[in-house]
Amino acid sequence: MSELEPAYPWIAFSMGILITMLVSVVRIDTKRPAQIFALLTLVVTLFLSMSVNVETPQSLFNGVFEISALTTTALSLLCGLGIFFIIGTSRYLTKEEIHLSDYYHLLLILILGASVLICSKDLLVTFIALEVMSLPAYTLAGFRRNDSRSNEAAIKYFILGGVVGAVFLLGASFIFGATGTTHLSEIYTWSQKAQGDLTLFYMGHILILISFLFKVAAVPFHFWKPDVYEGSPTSVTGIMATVMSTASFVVLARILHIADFKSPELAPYFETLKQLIRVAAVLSLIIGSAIVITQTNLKRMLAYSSISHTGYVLLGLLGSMNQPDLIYSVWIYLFGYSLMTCGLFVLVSQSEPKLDAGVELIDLTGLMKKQPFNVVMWSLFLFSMAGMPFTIGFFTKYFVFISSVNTGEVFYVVIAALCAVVSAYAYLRPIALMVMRDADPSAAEWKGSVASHSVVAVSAAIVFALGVMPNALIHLLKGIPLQH
Amino acid sequence: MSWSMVAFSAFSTIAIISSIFVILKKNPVSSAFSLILVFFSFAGLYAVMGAHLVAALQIMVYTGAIMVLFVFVIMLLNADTPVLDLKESGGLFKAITTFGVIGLLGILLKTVLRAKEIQATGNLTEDKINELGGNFKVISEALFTDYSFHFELASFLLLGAIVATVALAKRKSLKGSSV
Repeated sequence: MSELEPAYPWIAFSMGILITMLVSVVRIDTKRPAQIFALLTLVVTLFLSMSVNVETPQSLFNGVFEISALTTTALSLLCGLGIFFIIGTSRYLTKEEIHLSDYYHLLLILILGASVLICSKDLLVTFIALEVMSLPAYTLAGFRRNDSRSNEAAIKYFILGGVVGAVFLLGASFIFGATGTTHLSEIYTWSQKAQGDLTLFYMGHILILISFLFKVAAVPFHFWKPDVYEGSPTSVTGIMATVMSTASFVVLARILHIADFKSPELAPYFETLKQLIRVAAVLSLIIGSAIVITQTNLKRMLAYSSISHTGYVLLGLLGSMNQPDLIYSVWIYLFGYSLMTCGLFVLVSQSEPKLDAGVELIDLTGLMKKQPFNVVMWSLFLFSMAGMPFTIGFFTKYFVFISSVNTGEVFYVVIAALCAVVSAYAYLRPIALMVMRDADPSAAEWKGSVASHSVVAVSAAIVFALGVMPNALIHLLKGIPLQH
Repeated sequence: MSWSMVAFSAFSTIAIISSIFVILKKNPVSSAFSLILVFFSFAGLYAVMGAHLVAALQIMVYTGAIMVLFVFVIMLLNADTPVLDLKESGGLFKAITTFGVIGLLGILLKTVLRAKEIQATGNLTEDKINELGGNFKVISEALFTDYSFHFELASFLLLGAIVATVALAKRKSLKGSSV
């Protein structure tokens, strides 16, 4: 029994990355080995992470690495998403001529960074893990080298990501200056007896908060998202929307619970903080839902939709700030949102590439006659996005609303419900186009491999099953607290 | 005035003057060389403060590696003709930049004015470091004990950066020959 035993999933993951790289160097003539070993790595990590005993949360490596129900569940989710995307978008990568070994190496490193980011209990580790996650993402965003939009996405993402990293470091250094430590648990104990002028701590906290609001693209830090989503290869956009935002939201939750805000010294600041989150949530909801109905490009539409979903998650976080045990509404949201987004992006990646143009809504016309099975899948995911009953999307919104109502934020729930109604138009319009309109002459062809169809079917089945019987998921996620 | 005060004033004057040159010079090569001078004087400032390792790293990493790359890129792009001209930019841009700079200066000034009130919070004072065997020893010990996880994670960051660079640098993907 080694003391490292709880960390085996992560150790196996890192070993798997190295082995994948070695294998692809040995078999230089084909990309299959990289793909197969990447899948193997993720599958092994998935099983290991589900078998870790996490009854008592522990911190390894001097307390910087948390292993708890939260981090192992998140690792399983990230691995599952990685497996879905690798299987589901293999044909897409071949079509776009980016089916390279490098793609899989970078993808694995990205997921590793995201999973370490979730475990991090130390601001320094958070920063390094953030970079481990972001650096492959910048590169992957620009993988379609012959497309100017892909290059634009990569350079925009890279420069803004660099700024975000700098802002985070500045904030972390302020917090270190104020508290003398970078460990989150030590910052928490410090905050319980903090006195005097705490401006330095507040400034640092606001700065790291801003850097992660940037990462999750909350309004007013959202402007990079549509361009990056549109330009990146569809499979990469899917990874960004699921793996990267899940990890960023977990860190955001940690940042919002960084200190003991119950203490009287910090109470006035806590009110301001809640006000900031309210403003960001409401703006994300309104701007996301208002712009999503004007979009004609599918990936831009999904970008604005994810901005409005950021608003819902922020509402859930707001509820958890008032009452920490309500954090499970955020976990349910992240889980459900990742699943349906994963399915949607695999579906989007099934369109045949057109010269120098993205996937437009018009491409969906007449799909009913060509692929009735896929229309059902599209509808299920879009219904789930809109929050219709019998899909997981209903429960994700339901629990966020419940947690907000319970903590007295009724006004914001009303706004969120109105926004949900407005954005439902955007989600129902593609279905109407698919079912009611005949194929437009300029509409693209849709062709998916068996693998990608089965990935879509599996995630649709999960989205539907959890929408009918959410008890198991809720029971699992309800027992996951945020450790201090 | 002690010698460290003299050295501090000298280095900071050089740093300020050369950083002004960095943005005023229209020739990118002159700007780059002014920036090297800025980094050198920073190294001097660190040395004055007793952080000899940081001073050495500053010269090795920034002056030795990063700036040489800068100059190389400028040379390879053949960008020695003056192209940067802020006169082209609009009034709004200038206004925002000015406000931004003034705001930043204000924050810096406030920090400097309050510097006496802010206490160093860590337990490693200059005397303590000397007692423990100097900067190098303290940092290397911390790096391989308390910060070993950070160190390992950073190695994955570098690995990712290498793969990313290779992936981007291969201009055209030759069918069947990628690593």
